[in-house]
Amino acid sequence: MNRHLRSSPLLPVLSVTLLAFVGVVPGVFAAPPAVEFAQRDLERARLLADAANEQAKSASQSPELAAVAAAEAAKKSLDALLAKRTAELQTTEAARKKSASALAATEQAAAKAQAAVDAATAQLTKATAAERQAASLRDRSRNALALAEADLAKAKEAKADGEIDARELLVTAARTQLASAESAVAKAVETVKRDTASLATTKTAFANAETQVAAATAELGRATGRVEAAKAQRDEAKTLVDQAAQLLEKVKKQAQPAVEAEKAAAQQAAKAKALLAAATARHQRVSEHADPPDPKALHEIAKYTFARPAIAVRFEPTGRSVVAGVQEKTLHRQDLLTSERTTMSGHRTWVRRLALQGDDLLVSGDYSGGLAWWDPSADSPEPTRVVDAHEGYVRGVAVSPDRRFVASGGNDGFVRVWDAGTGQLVAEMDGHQRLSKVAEYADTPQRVFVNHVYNVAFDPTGRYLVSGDLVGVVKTWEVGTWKPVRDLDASPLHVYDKTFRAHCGGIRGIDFSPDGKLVAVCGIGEVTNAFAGVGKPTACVFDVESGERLAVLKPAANFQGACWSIRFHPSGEWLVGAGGGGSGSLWFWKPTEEKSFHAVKTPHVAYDVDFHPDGLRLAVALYDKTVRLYDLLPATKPAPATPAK
Amino acid sequence: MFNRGTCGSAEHVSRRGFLSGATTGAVSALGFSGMTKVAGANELRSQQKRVVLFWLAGGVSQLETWDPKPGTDTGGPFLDIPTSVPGVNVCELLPYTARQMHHLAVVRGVNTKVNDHGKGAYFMQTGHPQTPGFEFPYLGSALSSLLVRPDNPLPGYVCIGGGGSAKESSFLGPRFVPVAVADKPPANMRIADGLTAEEDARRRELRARIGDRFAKGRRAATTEVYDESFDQAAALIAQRDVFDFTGIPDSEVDRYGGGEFARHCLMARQLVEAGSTFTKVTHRNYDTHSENFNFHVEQLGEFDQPFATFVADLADRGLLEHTLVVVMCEFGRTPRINQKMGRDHWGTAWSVALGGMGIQGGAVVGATNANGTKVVDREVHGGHLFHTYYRAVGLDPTADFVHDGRPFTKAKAGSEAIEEILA
Repeated sequence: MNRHLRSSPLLPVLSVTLLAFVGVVPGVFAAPPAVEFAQRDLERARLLADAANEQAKSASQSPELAAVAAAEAAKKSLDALLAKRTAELQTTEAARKKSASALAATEQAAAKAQAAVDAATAQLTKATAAERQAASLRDRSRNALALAEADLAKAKEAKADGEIDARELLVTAARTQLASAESAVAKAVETVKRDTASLATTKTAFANAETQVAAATAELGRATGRVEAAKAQRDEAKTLVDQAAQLLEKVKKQAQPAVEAEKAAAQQAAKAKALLAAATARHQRVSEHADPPDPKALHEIAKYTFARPAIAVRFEPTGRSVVAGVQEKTLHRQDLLTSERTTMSGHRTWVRRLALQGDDLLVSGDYSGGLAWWDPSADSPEPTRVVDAHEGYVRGVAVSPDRRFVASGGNDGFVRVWDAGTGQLVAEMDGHQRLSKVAEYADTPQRVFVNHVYNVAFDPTGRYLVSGDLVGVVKTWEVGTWKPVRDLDASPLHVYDKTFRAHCGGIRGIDFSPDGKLVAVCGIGEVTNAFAGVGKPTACVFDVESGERLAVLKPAANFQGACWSIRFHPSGEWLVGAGGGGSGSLWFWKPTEEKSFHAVKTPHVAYDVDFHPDGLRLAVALYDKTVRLYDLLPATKPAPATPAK
Repeated sequence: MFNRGTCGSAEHVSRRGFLSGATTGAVSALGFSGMTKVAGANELRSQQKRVVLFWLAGGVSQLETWDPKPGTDTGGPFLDIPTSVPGVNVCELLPYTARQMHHLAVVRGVNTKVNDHGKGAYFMQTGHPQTPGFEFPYLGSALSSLLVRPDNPLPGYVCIGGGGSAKESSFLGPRFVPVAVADKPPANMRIADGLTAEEDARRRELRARIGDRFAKGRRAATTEVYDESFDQAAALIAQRDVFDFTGIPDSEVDRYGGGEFARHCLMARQLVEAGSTFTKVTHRNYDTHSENFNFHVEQLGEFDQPFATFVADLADRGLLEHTLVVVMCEFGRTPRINQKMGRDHWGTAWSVALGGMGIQGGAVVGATNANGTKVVDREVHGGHLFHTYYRAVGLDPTADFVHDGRPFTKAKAGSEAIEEILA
């Protein structure tokens, strides 16, 4: 399954602007207009946004999330139940407390009544004793009277006058005494009677109090029973709440990925929304922007950072991503719309050069002589074919416009042509290799010199293959027969440094004009110190048919370093060179004007540059471990001019 | 600073150049007094200890040679390859040398802390950090002064691929000054035109008679030296074929990989075979501040096959056991790859290779960290290496040189030989 939704076949709208923009050459692949790419981006952004929304929606509706919601609701209702039960418990506890104090009060009253009974009993005992004492005194007084009366009677019988009087007196006294004793008895009886009644009263009161205590005790028992019941209910509710909490925890844990997925999907949807907004805005700006792209408007719009310095960069012809080779064995595909990055593994070491043709063919060449074929539109691209192409590095790779051939050039001095479909060797050209023995280039007869092929390119009409080498020779080969057609003199890109006894220079970049009439090559010229890399960034432009060198291009300002890569703008109107020495720069040249008409400083040395097929964007591979995307579309729409008053 | 480190321009040596030691020096190490006493070449071959120093001027990259770190941020684009010693890998730019690793030992923990061509060259060739106002003798002068057999008429210290400086012998005097040789035989090495061998012998006999009469009653060191200079010249002329490299067949140059350096290795082989004591072969232009990888492809492409063939030849001919071979330079190159795809000067963590006499082939001592930015095991400097060279050829590195009654240590104090690689 392809990572991209395949776009509709390229049906460029051949508007007047397009004709003016790319020029139309029969048989030459005409890039669709910029607006077409903006339209495609917009469509893709729309699809991505829709898909992201759908995803976010479905993610938010996952059963795991529903389970969490249900568990949360269950727990909530159980929490309410627990609260209710807790309140109930508190009420019963208050009631029990009240009953307990009531019991205490009745018990106190009962104790008091008991005390009263005791007091009344003591009183009665005392009264009864007093009564018994009084009765005893009366009885003794009655006896004394009887004795006195008997004595009197005796005296009277005896008519003992003297004695009768005395006896009479004694009888009177005894009578008085008896009267008093009888009165005392009556009084005591009265008292006993009163105290007996009083005791009965207190006993009744005590019995009443006892009854009240019993009643209060029973009430407390009932209240306690109610508390126990409420507690049990509360505990039951608590258990339920705990169970619900555990369940919720479990469900939540199970739902964690779903939660994250939902979050991610939401973020993705937000991002897709932003991308869509940006694509919409860009589409509008591209549609409205009628002027041809102007290098002076160039500005950075994106920066992709890698672990190592970036050395090779090419856009996919679909315009969807940029493929970067850095100082490690993996390639990186960077989606321009989504910024998604895919690592592509299969090379043994650094990749020096990338060539793409159509939407599903990438061929890359590495520093150990290997070529790898890829389908850059695959989800996770893997090499579909690997070929050991050269001894030493592969320095140049190109795919013919009809995708039949892959050409490579390398350190062994050979140019080799491979069948793109089978990987079989089709042709081997030793024209550069043979220069190793030409006295003009071999510095001394004693020195072994191997000329290196630095780069190769097919012209867009598919008629020629060109190859450039270390010593500034560019060879043109006829596609099919692979016979040499002519040599182009790029000697400004080569110096033999006598001090260091080394060849320095090389055809580092090659590019054809979109109509195939011009070819530009670049590198370092005017080298004064090979090992320190002291020289001038230089490019040469040739007329392909005549082989005439039309111009030697250099930066307008004094600059030391190399021009590592050169590309024609798809309009064919101007070229960009990328390079640097102590610092990095992009230079913009008209094909036949020797001095650059514009230059832009880059954050560090630039090793490669490529135009997006929309002609508006360019990618630059930099030593500072980045690939930066630059835009030719003016950063903001100029404000409408204020009408003059 | 961008500063080239070579030992000067190669010039044809003249007989006068050869003899400067004997004519101007106060001390002659040559104890022979006439061509009749010149030892037979065969005897010499079997007894003379030899040293060949390969000087990779400018500073070869240790990462592209002896201590590869493929796949790391500093490793560069090249892969490593196995060698004839299991477990020891070198950079893929040395495929021929890889097959001779059983003859070579690698010291991977060199830290000289010197990043300057002049100072690095000095430390590595004298065993001492540079100090102003005093010159220690260079390895070629020092070892030849101790190793040259008294009956060996050949110059002790010969340079190929670049001349040495007269300063190199320091207090050891002109006798051990480096002598540069080139493809063509030195000038004035033949008997003057028009003379036959007998006539020449008669000439010298006449000179000797006159000289003897002059010397009678006034024999002194200076007159002896003067006489010896004639004797040495005569001996040298008798050995002149040693310096005639025109006989090296093209097929041999081809077998050595072709090119100038192959030829220089064959010249070194010829000198070794003839019993020449110390030969320094300079291979220049490793100072790759820009395009390190491209230039190392070319430089090591020149170096690898001739050097490896030289080592294999010496081993095949039974000469390696009498010959110490050292491959070094002023420093290594930075692990960091700069913005010109170059590597800069780096004395902090680099390698030296050596082999042959007294060296345990296949040994590797010392190590750098994963990306080669630091020595992590068995750190050594030029002093340790000097002790090792002395020990390898059977000399005592702790016995001082004595000059004007003053002792001079042979290598930086506090260093000792790297025992792990000594046989």
